Amino acid sequence: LATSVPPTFDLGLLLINNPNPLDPASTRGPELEPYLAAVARENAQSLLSEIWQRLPAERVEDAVVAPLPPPSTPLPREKPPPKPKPPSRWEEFARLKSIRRNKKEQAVWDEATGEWRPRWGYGRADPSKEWLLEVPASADPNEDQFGRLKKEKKERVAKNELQRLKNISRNMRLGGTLPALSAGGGGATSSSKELKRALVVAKRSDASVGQFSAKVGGEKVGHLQGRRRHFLPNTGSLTAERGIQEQVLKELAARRTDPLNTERAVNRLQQQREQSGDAANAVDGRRRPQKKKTAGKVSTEGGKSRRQNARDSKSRKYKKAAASGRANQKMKSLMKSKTLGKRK
Amino acid sequence: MASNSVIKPKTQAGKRALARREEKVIENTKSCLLIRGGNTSEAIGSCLKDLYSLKKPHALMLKRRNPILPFEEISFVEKMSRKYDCSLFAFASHSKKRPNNLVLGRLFNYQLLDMIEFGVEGYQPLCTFPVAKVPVGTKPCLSFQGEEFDSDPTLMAIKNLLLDMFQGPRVEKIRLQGLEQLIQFSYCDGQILVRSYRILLKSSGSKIPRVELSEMGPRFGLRLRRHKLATPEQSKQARRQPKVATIKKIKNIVPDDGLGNRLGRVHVGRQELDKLQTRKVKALKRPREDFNAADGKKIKKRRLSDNKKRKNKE
Repeated sequence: LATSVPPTFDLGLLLINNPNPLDPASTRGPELEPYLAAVARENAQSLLSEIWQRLPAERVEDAVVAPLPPPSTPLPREKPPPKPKPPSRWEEFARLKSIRRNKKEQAVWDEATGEWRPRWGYGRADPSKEWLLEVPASADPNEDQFGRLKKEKKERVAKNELQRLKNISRNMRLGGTLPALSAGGGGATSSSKELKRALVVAKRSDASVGQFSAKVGGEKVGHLQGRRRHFLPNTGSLTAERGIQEQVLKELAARRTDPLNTERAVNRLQQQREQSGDAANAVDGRRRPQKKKTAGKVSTEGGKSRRQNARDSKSRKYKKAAASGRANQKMKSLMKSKTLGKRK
Repeated sequence: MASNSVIKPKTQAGKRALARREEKVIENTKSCLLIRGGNTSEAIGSCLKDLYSLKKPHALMLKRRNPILPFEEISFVEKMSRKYDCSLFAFASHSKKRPNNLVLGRLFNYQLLDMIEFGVEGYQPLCTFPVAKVPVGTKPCLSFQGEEFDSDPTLMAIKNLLLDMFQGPRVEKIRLQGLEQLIQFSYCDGQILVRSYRILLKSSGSKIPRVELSEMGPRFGLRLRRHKLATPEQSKQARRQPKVATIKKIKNIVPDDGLGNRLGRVHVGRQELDKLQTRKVKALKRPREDFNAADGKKIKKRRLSDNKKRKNKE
């Protein structure tokens, strides 16, 4: 059998890859099986030679054993690798305080029986199985001591269970295995409040092509809880609005510790003069409408001062907001009167 | 992890079963789920049984017929895989359109990864070969013959699947006398010919034994029909290995020089040897006030030899 290409091996899988094609003439008719057997024998011989040569043989009791290398062919896993568990509250505390676990011995000396008893499991000295209990001096003489022990044990078990469930919920929250319920942002919803809100939103927002889905009998959709932001109307009493604005300014003024910083003022003046290049620009701290530059006058590249630009952009923004606000108001009123769907 | 589930196992056996199923760094040997379809021919039914024999004990044969179509609806297979904790499956069926149909597939995290449909041709069962069979749980040697297994993407995927299916248990060491089985996959005219042989090691002149094979069965050819392969992202995710904690090597320290000594090199820095203070002079430890008395005279240093002098004087 002419082997033109040498075979490659993956000893971790006991694999031989022979990239030579089968001889087409030999694969027809009754010669197929003997031919395949011959090919297989060659491959097996190559593989075993490789194993015997490459792998160091050790003797373990009465068998000759060779350690296998890890496989080089990448094979997929069965399940994803385990995620590291975040430490529980106790584990975190123990780590900070460097509290180490003391391994307890299985046998405990039991005074009552005068012998060694296991600490847990079969044959342990169980306090709940005591036939005689001393009434402590501080306790009520009519109190049921057996009942008290039982109750305390129940409480301890319940507390432990609660802690365990809390740890699990924290693990899930930190591990992020809960599916994202909100459309906007795929972040894990952490608290029960967020989950509730997501549920209510999902229930409400079920319109398709403008049609809200019909309520199934007895289904409560729920309100979207949360603080409603109240805005004052844009139209109305001007004096009221003026009063509000003046109040704001007063509060701001009251907060300022140094009302006038002369150095600052002088620097500002200098800067503006440099930038505008127009000595006639009156700057006294108040907003003034920008003078129009005539063609002949020398004007700097950034004709307006930075501060002025900022102020103008802000005013543009507010104008836009105001305009859209008015538009929104109009839309809202429209919406109230006539709805597209039949949402009650 | 079992400790991460709300329901705690009540018995030790239950706890062990859950521990077996959880995600691990080093995983269990993949189990194969063998499913019979709505209709099976004698040949394909027998083929499935032989596959079960080959894969024992890491295989589970479902008893009832399941009239499902894996290429249309895979949810049944996924459900069963989750129930029985199997990540490989073989589905056998027979119909006029697809005679002797065998679907081999695997799952990742109980979800379909890839599956390939074959038509089984030229099948001869295990029992027809009068050769003694290998013990259950033997790790077989695998041989792939044909250039297409390294070049054609579909065949490369098929090879990967067959490797996964037939690799047997993962072992760290192998008994050299225990290399008893060889499974050969050869590509020929659109068919993958599968042959299984028993390896007999005969003594040769050198240390390496001479190999002799005897066909053990089963014998069949797989003709490729349909396939549903994993997307590159899926296969990448499936191959993601956990970060194995490596022992951090501490620089400069030799933990054990072979005699149980822990060696390290202490770097002191540059030292000016002529300016080193080596001798401890007690006189220099005395406070400075001794040297200048209140009247400005220098106090004479007392020495032991002074006692002698004094004695001599007296």
